[in-house]
Amino acid sequence: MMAQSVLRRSTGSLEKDEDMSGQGMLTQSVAFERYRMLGQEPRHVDLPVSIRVNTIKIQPDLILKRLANIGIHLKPINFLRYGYSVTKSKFSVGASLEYLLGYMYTQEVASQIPVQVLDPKPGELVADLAAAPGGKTTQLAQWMENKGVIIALDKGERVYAIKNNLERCGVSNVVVLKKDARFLSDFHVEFDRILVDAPCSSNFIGDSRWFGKHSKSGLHNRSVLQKELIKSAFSCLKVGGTMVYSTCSLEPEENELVVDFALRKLKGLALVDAQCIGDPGLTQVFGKSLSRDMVKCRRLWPWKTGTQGFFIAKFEKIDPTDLTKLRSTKIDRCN
Amino acid sequence: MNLPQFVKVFTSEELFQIRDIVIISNSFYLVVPSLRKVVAQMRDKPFAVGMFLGREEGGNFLPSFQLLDWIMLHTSRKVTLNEKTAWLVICGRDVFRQGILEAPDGLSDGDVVLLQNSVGECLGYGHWCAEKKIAVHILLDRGDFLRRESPHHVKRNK
Repeated sequence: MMAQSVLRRSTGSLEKDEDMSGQGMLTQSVAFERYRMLGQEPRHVDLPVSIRVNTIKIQPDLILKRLANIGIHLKPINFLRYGYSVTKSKFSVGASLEYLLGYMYTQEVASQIPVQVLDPKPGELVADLAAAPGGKTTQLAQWMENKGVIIALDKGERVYAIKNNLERCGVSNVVVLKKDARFLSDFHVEFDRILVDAPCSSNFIGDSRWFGKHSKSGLHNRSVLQKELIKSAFSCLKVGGTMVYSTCSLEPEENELVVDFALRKLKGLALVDAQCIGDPGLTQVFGKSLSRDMVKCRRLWPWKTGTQGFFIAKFEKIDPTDLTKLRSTKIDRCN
Repeated sequence: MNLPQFVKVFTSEELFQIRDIVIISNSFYLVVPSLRKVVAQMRDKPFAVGMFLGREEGGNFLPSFQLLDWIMLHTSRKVTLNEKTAWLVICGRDVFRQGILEAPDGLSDGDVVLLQNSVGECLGYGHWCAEKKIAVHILLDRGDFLRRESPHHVKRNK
């Protein structure tokens, strides 16, 4: 309550040295007040179980019929290419033979969007940073029809899960490395596309124990890593290449502020319209003005999209010597 | 039994060239030239690469499902199961004789056979038992994907 009392919602800014800019925990009241300051009316949302049909192994019409026969009914999600929500099921989708055969991947609706926005093509060289447990890696392979090369990196023990999911889904064009993605440049290769689905604080819709587990200082620490990941990815992206940065966090410190940092520091990095569902990215964050281009990002507020919280930014790497393009991407701040 | 010997049990066809196999920590992977080229540029040892074919443990070759699915297309050495038995198999149960819809002629005790459901999907593999109530002793089934996620298995993998 004290935290709420120090907020200045009318101006959308925070007083210096007050709780929100300090080290305080993000309790429900603090977090919700932050979202209100960003123009939202937050509330809890129940998410449907959703899957992605793995077209490496089966076509959607066939799996839909099979699942209906065993009492699992699906509805297509109109903004996803292969995404379906489970409308009725007698048992857990993840315990079905069809799941074990790799015909589908249980994947939350919003988390299917980044790969769709990145839109990798067969034959390309693609990097997937912080890839475990491999949901998006298998999705990348599906988009690429198992052709080309994906380099999937993760420094944690969950690399085993990537390997299992690749086997289950019949993927054969991936190199998995147990390695910190900040050292992507060690490979001395340039990628056509890079997915930076960064480790983040997640959000209260996806994690029922989210409140009280995170603090402002924690967000800051994580944003340092996120900025390093973007810098690492940028250094290995081809000129003309595409990079998608995404998180399942609702916190601007892990999203717009990271993107704003990247636009300021990385010459030749330009935002491209993500062209997916969600609100435009924020150009004003707690009193701070960001690039007008931020509207090209997408913010999935769960109470608006009925999905998990998500943030998606799509970038193109342009030739820093191309003055025409550079001029058009010059950072134009909102006042 | 090693990888080539395991494949030979099921088919005389040459499914792959040995030179296209990469071995990482006792695991075997089939690697196409485009992948091989990228891996050759790396100083880091991959954790996994290309199509996982299986691993060797204690002198025995343990196939992956990617390999079994592939072999399924090139062999007649497979036992077809009824619906109920197919479900029991992925729960890790052995196969009783009455659950079999079709089996190839001439199988001997201890022969390795693939197991499939009525629509030809590979459920696992096992040893044929000639003169017992149990017809196939399961060595690997699809339910293994769920079991691998258990904390015990993850710990063992480390």
